[in-house]
Amino acid sequence: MASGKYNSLKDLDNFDTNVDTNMFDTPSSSEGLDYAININMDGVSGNMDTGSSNKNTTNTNNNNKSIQDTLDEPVLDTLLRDLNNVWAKMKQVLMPTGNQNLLRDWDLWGPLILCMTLAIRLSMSAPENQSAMVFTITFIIIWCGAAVITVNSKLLGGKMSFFQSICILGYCIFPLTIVSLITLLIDYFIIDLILVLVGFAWSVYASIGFLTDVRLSQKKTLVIYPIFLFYFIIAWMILIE
Amino acid sequence: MDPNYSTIFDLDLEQNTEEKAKNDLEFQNFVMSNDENVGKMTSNNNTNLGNASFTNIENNNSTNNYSFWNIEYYSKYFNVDTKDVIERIICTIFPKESFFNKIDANPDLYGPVWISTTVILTLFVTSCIANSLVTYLKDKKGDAKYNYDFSLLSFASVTVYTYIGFIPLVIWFLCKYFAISLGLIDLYCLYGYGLSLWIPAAVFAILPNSLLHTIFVLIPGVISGYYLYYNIYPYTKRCDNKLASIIIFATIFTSLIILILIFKIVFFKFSV
Repeated sequence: MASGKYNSLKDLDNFDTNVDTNMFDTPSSSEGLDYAININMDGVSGNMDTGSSNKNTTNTNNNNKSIQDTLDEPVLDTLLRDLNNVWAKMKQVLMPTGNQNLLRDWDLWGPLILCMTLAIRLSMSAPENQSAMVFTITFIIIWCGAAVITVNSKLLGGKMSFFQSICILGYCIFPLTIVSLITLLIDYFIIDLILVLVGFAWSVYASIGFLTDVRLSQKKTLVIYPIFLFYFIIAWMILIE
Repeated sequence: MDPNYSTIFDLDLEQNTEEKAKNDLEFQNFVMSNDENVGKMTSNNNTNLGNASFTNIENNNSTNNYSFWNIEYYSKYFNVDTKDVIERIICTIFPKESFFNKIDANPDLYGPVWISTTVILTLFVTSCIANSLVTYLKDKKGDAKYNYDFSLLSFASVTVYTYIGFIPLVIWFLCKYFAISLGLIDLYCLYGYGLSLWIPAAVFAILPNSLLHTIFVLIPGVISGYYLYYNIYPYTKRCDNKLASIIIFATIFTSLIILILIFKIVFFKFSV
């Protein structure tokens, strides 16, 4: 995650300057210095814990634990932190009205997990001789589709970076993935249809919220239409299972 | 080409020209207007213009300087509004006005890419519905389990993308050979928008009746044949070689008939 690294580097930068200014402010009082370092350490550790979201910065008491370098921490912690990031972004997609900054820090793990889940789910219920093909087609549609949509909106004049757009499109499959897992349990076509429609609308709504560029007012439909097609074909594949 | 490099290059150039300009300002006598100085001035102006257009690209995304391999190179083929696209689609469904007049030397690739994709998805979806409907009608007890066929999706993609990607290229080569001035992108645009007729037609593949299928394959087929003839004939007519029209239209109509047959046999086949 290149952007993650970048964030932490930036934070270290802040950390240095903060220490300097605080040291010059209170050169005689050791207590003040201590306090300054504590605060700054908190800032750094908070960022390490939750990536770019600055939520978890209130644990002033157990500094010893959170000062710990990421090089020395157990692998499990590292993995859990990444998984937490992914989960936070998925929640963001489910509630797209909230803070939209979380998806600025792109990663491709979430899209990969969602894509694998959906592909495995679809190939499970495919006819015997087609399951491999269904898996492949799902995979190709999601990744190539996201890439083509991104290139399309870039060519129309959008300014979003390539991988960020792919990340958003990938995360916005989440409602449809949930629906596909629920339809495993339900056997009534009408209920499936309604669920898939809801999931489809949700995905399109969320992705448009994240991807819409105000500068493209004349071309908005041209940008949205491919996104609509993309989620439509995924929804259709879920429905006909 | 890496855009960063071109930026660095241009910045260097700008510095140089600025220095030159300074020197020129200091040592030149404009009243005398000797030839060498004039030459210098124009060359400076040219480089400045180049820089200006480069900054324009940064701001407005209008492309002049990008190479063929750069993605930004193609953004001049996506320079359309929603209104343009809709007008162009209407112009292909009711071919009363020449399509090349309509696009007005601004051919786009947005239409060809997304119209052909829409045709593929519509054909897949409607043939799925038709297939399940026929399975249901044939066996009203509901015992027969309908199995969808994903190979229809890949087959539709291969057929439509080959048609849209390959045939305009062949016609373009023929035009080059007979020295007819038709651009490749113009032909792609013409063919791509021409496919938009198949989107409503594909919906009728749901009706489980082979006679209706034949009718709804033939109607768009005839209209798109007329549309291609109407738009390309004015260009082939001007060519002195009489063989040109014959060969080009033989290619166009043969490929169109093959496309219609494939659609009829593979996607419009589910009937009671």
